[in-house]
Amino acid sequence: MTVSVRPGLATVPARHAPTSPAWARSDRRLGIVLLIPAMLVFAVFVFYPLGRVLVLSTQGTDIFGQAAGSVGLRNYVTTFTDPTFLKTMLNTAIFCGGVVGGRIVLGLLVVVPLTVKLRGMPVFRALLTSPLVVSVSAGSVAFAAMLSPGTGLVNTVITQFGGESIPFLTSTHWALASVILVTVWGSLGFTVLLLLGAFGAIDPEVVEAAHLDGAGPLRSFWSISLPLVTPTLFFVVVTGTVEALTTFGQIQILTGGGPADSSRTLVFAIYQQAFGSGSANFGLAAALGVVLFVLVLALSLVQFGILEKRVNY
Amino acid sequence: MRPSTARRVRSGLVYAWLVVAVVVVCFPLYYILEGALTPTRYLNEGLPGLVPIHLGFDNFVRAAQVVPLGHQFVNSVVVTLAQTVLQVAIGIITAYALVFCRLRGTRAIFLVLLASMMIPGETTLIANYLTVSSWHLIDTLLVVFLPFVASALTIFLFRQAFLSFPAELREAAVLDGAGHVRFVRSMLLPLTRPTLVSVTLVSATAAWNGYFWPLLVTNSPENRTVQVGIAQLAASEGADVGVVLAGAAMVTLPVLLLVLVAQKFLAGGLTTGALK
Repeated sequence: MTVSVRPGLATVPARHAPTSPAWARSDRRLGIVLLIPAMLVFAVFVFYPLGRVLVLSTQGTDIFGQAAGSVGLRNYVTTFTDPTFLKTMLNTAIFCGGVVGGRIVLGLLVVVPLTVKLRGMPVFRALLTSPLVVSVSAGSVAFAAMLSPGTGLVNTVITQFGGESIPFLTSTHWALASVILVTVWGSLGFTVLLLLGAFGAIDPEVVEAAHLDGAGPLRSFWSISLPLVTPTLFFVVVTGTVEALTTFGQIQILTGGGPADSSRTLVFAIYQQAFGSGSANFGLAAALGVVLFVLVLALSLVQFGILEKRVNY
Repeated sequence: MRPSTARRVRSGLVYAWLVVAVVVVCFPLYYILEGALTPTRYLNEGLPGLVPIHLGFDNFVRAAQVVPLGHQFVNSVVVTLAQTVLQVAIGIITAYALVFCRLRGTRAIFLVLLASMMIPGETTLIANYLTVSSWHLIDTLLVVFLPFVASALTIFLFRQAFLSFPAELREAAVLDGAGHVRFVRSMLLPLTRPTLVSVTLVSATAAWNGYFWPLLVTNSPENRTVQVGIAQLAASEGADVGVVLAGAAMVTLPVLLLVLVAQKFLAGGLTTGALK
């Protein structure tokens, strides 16, 4: 079993081209023309903006949001010495850890029983991956309705059973946890799909052999199945962390980063600095964007390097 | 206990576990669909409102009339179609150039594409916002999909499929005098159809579900996509749960139908690029 994190990392030269030189020349011209649209889009909307953000991060911003001269590294100094930055990074770390941990634990709890061969499993599989169809904003508004303090369903149930209403989205103790919960729910369908694939690829003879050797279901899960799906788990950890790092919709819709910045993560901080009410500080927002870039780049390199080379069977 | 009894107990436990999982995992989806059809006054009763006995389409009618969700739904359809068609078309021609045209430096281009996947859209967001606003494109539908008409992942998936295309078939087509367009239309695409279908489905779903960028680049309600529309509706009219859920159902149902119709392809497409 091989895990290829991104398709086709190994480059293969064009091999189907006809051999005549005239053909090759016209092919080459056509190839260049065909590459233009994609290269143009990447140049304008991926590479140029990366450069522009790097430059912006060293510039001051006037009250209209216009770049106003170089300030060197001052935006970075301001960012790193700002106590709310520390809080933001801590929130981001908790958010990523919670989301990725939650995805894996809940994903396994759902997928392991699904791998038992019993009647009706296709129906259960379809049902348990169905949340995939819910977009970030639809899921978020539904959870906002369910978790709201007054007439929200969850609190209605809690108070009906004699409990005290919980301010899920409006209390500093609950906001981040609530957003994590909603994000885990939103990504569970995809996690289940991935893990189903991984468990499905396990050779049944290996498990059979373990069974004949007297291993119970728990033992064979821990010693056989789980190690065999670690490549997929690594994949979920790395890509899930990148995904969690760049999460925006749930936070904006459910808590707006609040209360008192308690659910403000890095991406939400970028949004607030650049587009928040009366802020429009593109210089500081760009510096935060560069921090995000460095983190994602590091994770991507881990993904391409370690995963591609080591986690192969 | 005899083995058969033990097995029966074990499968009973597995089923019980799965039923609990389905109830927990699928409840929000049920809540969206049932709530969209139930008047808010029943929903506010808590548990009694969750039994589907007061169903009607009032919430949808109000969502389309009182707030311009119907109009925004059409915007989303337009944006999704444009983005998907262009992304798939550019994906095909780019992958074609990389695989079938005798280009030098395909390795370098490949690295450029790889690099582009490592740059988070959230980093480049501010600069892209400044770019499109300097082009006076803010608050247009065009700008909602423009940055996404080329996708590195889409190109890779097509490249992958084209690389596994039998070289002999290509040779035969060329010997028979087929041009590029004819080869693509009558051989390459028909024979790589599973990839074409799953990539299209994934592109379309992603386009339909977009939120952050559409939120930034549109201002007026009539230019919003429905994803942004429902979030703003929830922020302003959160008390009217029925209408909010009708909006959520409006954006969920198309994808739900897509998945039901093309489940095999969508599952395959979503995990392509992840695992092989």
